[in-house]
Amino acid sequence: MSDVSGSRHDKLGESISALVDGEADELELRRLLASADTQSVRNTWRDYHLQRDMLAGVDMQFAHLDISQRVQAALAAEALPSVAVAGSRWWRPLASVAVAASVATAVVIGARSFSPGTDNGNAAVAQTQPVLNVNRAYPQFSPALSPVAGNVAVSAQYNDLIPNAGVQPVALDPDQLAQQRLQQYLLRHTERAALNNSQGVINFAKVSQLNNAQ
Amino acid sequence: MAAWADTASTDTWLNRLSQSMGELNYRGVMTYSRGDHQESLRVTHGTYNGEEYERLEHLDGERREVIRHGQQLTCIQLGRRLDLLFHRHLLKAGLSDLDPFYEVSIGEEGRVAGHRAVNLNIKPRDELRFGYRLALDYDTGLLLRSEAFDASGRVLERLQFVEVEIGQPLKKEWLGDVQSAAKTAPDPLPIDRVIEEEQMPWKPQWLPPGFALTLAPHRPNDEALTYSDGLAVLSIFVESTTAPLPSGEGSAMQGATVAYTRPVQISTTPHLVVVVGDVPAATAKRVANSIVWDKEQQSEASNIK
Repeated sequence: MSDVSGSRHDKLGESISALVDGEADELELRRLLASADTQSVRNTWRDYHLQRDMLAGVDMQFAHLDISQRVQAALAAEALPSVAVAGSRWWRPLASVAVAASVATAVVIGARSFSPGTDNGNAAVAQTQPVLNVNRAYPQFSPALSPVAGNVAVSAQYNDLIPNAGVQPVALDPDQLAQQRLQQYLLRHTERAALNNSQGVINFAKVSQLNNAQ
Repeated sequence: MAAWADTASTDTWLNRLSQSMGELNYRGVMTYSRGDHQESLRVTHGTYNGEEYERLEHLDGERREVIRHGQQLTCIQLGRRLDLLFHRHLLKAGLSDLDPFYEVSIGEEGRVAGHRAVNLNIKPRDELRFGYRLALDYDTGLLLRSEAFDASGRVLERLQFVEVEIGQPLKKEWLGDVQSAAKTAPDPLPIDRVIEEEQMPWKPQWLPPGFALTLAPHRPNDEALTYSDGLAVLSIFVESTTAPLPSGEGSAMQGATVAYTRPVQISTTPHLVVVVGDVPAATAKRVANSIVWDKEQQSEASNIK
């Protein structure tokens, strides 16, 4: 009897290890989640992460948080979609991450696929980051662009982001256009943020272009 | 002067911070950095002749600045003038209400921009928001440094005074000259109301716990719902687009600010849902995916600007 539970535990341990290393798939993740209320699994999870992060030199700030909560939150949010904007100076695309990847690398570990701190404006970084290839369909939208990172997909995507046709895209390449659109939204958001936190106009430090607001 | 500081609780510090940023006179140079990007800014704040002024000048690259005089906010870039209205006093997030969502602790003392500083560590209690480390001036509570970090502890962006003078009288020439900007700008629009959820034909069905609707300026063609948990702020824009719907979704990040874009079809009109905020991408995505349309107004939804 103890053999059975022991081997199950080993199996979970392997899954957790795979997840931590970015090698688990979605099924494995869901299986883990189903058994995530056993304390031993949580402890194993935590140990693996601490071990991994110590090896990687990552300071595990949030090790005190309940892992399953994070996993569930990430699952609820489903996969993070992909966007890559080549050579972007300001906005850096987030890497392609599917459900398991968003849990394993972005949400929990946060050190690899979700790496805004590097901000080196190189889309290649996004593509070379460890990503679990659990592609998910977005049935409500045309499946023409699958959610994987890539410059081509991105260009096509952002070329279309022209609400109200307020911006003439003719002379701009898609990257510039996307950057401009994002800057506009950032400015509009910042104006609202400045109303609602104590930093006032200092919020505008984050806005590099102050025109094109409307 | 700072006798209160020796025994101050985290709450006292947070309230002090909230107060000092709006009430003190201060002028200094700060850096804003994210990744390998960094720029310098001069910040001036205080009262002059009984009126409140605030000015932020970008010191690198092309000339651009933001000036607030009373309730009028003016952005100037290369002589172009953009008037925005600013009801700063309408609402200020209650920093002392953070406890359900953030664990706030007092860290070690330090020194920032030549000032004795108290460090506050603000860790989120869930994965739906970022954490913050703040350094406050020991004597006044003024924010000297602010860092946002993600779940791995990676610093996403940092605002920090390099040098700041606190409490001195302001000089007129420090306040900037809004009048010298281009005269062609339209008069500022009056703000006679603020947006409420009921006024919108759409609303989010899910928000991170603790996020409440905040007041925001209401201008034609610039409508959004803005929510805050007291520290992080996120805005939701829903706009019609004449372009064919893009087939994918997108997210991008700049510093601690995430922009998440998702195309939707309402009736026959393509729309874009854009969520911009200082929250993790998964949070922005979940908010964007929870947008629902008021059924009765669904037929009019294509009129959203």
